[in-house]
Amino acid sequence: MSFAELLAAALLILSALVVVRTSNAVHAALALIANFLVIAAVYVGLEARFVAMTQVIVYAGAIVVLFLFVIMLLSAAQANVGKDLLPGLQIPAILGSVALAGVLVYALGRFSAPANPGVLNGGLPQALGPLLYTPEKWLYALLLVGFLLLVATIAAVVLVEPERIVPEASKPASEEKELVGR
Amino acid sequence: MITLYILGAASTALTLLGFFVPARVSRWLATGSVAAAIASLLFTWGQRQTAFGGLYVVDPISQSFTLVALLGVLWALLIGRSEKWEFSLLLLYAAAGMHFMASSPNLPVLLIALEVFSLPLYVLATWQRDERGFEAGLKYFLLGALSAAIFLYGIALHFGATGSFNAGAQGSGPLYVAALLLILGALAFKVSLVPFHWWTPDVYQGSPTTVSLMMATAVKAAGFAALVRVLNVQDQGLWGLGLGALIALTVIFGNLGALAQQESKRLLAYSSIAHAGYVGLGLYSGTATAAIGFYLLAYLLSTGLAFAVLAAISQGDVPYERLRGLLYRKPLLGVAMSVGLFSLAGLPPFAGFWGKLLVFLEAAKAQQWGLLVLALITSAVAAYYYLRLFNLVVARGPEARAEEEAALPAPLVGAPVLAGQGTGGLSLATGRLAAWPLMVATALVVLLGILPGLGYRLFSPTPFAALSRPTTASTTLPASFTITSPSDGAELRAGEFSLQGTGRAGETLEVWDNASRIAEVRVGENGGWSLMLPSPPSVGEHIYQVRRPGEGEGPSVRVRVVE
Repeated sequence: MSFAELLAAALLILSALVVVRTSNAVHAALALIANFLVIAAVYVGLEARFVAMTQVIVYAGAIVVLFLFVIMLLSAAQANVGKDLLPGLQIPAILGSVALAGVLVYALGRFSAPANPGVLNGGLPQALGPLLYTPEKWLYALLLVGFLLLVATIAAVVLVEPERIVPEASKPASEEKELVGR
Repeated sequence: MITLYILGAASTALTLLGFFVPARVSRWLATGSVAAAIASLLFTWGQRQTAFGGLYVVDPISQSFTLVALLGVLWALLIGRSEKWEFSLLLLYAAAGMHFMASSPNLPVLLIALEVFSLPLYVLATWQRDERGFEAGLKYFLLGALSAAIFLYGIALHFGATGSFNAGAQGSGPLYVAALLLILGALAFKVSLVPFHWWTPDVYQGSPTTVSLMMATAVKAAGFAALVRVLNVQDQGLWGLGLGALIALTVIFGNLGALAQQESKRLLAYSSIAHAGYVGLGLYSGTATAAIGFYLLAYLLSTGLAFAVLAAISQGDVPYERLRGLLYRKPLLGVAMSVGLFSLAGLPPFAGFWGKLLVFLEAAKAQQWGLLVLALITSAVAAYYYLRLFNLVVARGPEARAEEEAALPAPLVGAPVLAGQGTGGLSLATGRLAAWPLMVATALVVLLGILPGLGYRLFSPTPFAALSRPTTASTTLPASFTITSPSDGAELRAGEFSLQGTGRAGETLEVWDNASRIAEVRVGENGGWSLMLPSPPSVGEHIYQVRRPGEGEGPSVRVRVVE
């Protein structure tokens, strides 16, 4: 463990804790961006440069920005509103998390990685492209991801589109009110 | 292959077509596509195929589970009718995703497929835009996303432990066990095994009954397809215990939970949890594809019958009282419900009985006696709540109320139905459409109960193989075998690395290094094999070749090992 690795690990855990623990949703989203930036740096150190760039562009630059849009549009920055229906759940949750972490750390500790994973060439897109677009390699998975993005787009649109007003002879008044309400 | 093309092309095309044609036409196109996919499945039944470098395989697992899943989607399409054409489009997407899920031994592809059919389901769960619909969608989405994350982490650990992305790769050590348990937990969420079942009752109750029908049948089939592939590991160490705990909890909790219900839809949700436990018994045996396939088909028909009858009564809740005297008010609904309930309870001579028998035989072959006894006892418990419903269906009661009559589709009542109001524009199909699937399914449950061989032959080359010693299925088709990793021309550093590839399930292949035979590998049930090299390779050129025993030639890769 070099100093840089220790620093990265500490920053990762710290920012993740802020994401989970802070009661201000905007702060949480910003801490998440910090987390993503650090993990991108870790990827670079692990010879996965293209993945690191994608992590910054897509995760920090697109996804969390969407999060922030939603949080700000809903003015939902303050989390602790309403009634806590499950008081006293914090201690069991912390214990459960620690137990899970312990099991995984034990499992990973008994594991020795292969001495050398092969030549990674820094994980640049020049090396990844042939893997992704060769029919015998991962092309099928890539096409499925494309299909998944289509499905996700349509699903999101259907989920948020307002009720269409269907021309019908008799609509009950209650439904009229609902249309206005949404 | 052709099934994949039909589903992929149809769902993509319908995405754009839907804007230009009426909702009714969209529904017909979607129904036709799923029917065409089922027909293509049956035409290519029994053929094996591997494509895209082994990421897409057509084998008995893919065919049987896809068939069950597509039948479930087809049923939902036939009886559900929405003013919004996206309803049928989302169902078609889900059908495509389930086929992807059933037809890949590759874990990352399984995860993508899981998302493809989960996303439409989250939206369909909120189709009735009321409090309970939103609650169902929210719960389903949050827990589904969590389970996908668990699945992903399991895949990463699995790759770390075995060096392979293929489900069913052999491995050892705590990391491997942790990986299998994480994947098992994530998939157990999809098929709702206890304690990953908490979403099931709420989601089934909050969704429109038509959608619940599809969730309870098709989604389970897709989930079990992946489970059969992943758990196809020779030694059942810790994960076997984990699976046993899940099954024991499931059959106990599912049945006891169902006893306490006051509402039919919720009761069927708990009943579907319990049935997932019975199917899980088959996972202990490596040759259980046929038994699980038949069980899921029988379960699809019976649970589908029950849900379809509830859907015909109301898309919302159906308190027990509304079933009272159904047999005299609507003979068709009453008979269908009774047959479905008997079959779910596992009483002969209905299909459900044979399904249970076959799965129990597989569990006995794997010598899981404790679980078997537990399953038998809880089956007897289950009979109580199924027969309680049946008792209501045949009870003489007060006359049905007028609004109930109005809620029933036309062929069953003879009165026109109002378009679904307050249900997201979801109503039941009218005309003969609602009645046909009911009649066909009822007939099938009885037919498969009297002649189970008809259905079982579909899934198994030799009828009642479960009763005899397991035999290795032999196909006369030329099945290819390949090396998928490392790739041809790869440069690897000296040290241990593993070879992976595909082959015909169950056969033994020889692995050659340059001109010497270094090892034999057995291809798993999922058509994939992997081999950790027994000794680290020397520096220089290596040509790794895989051969069938006795054959001189096979696919090879040229690898350069460097310092």
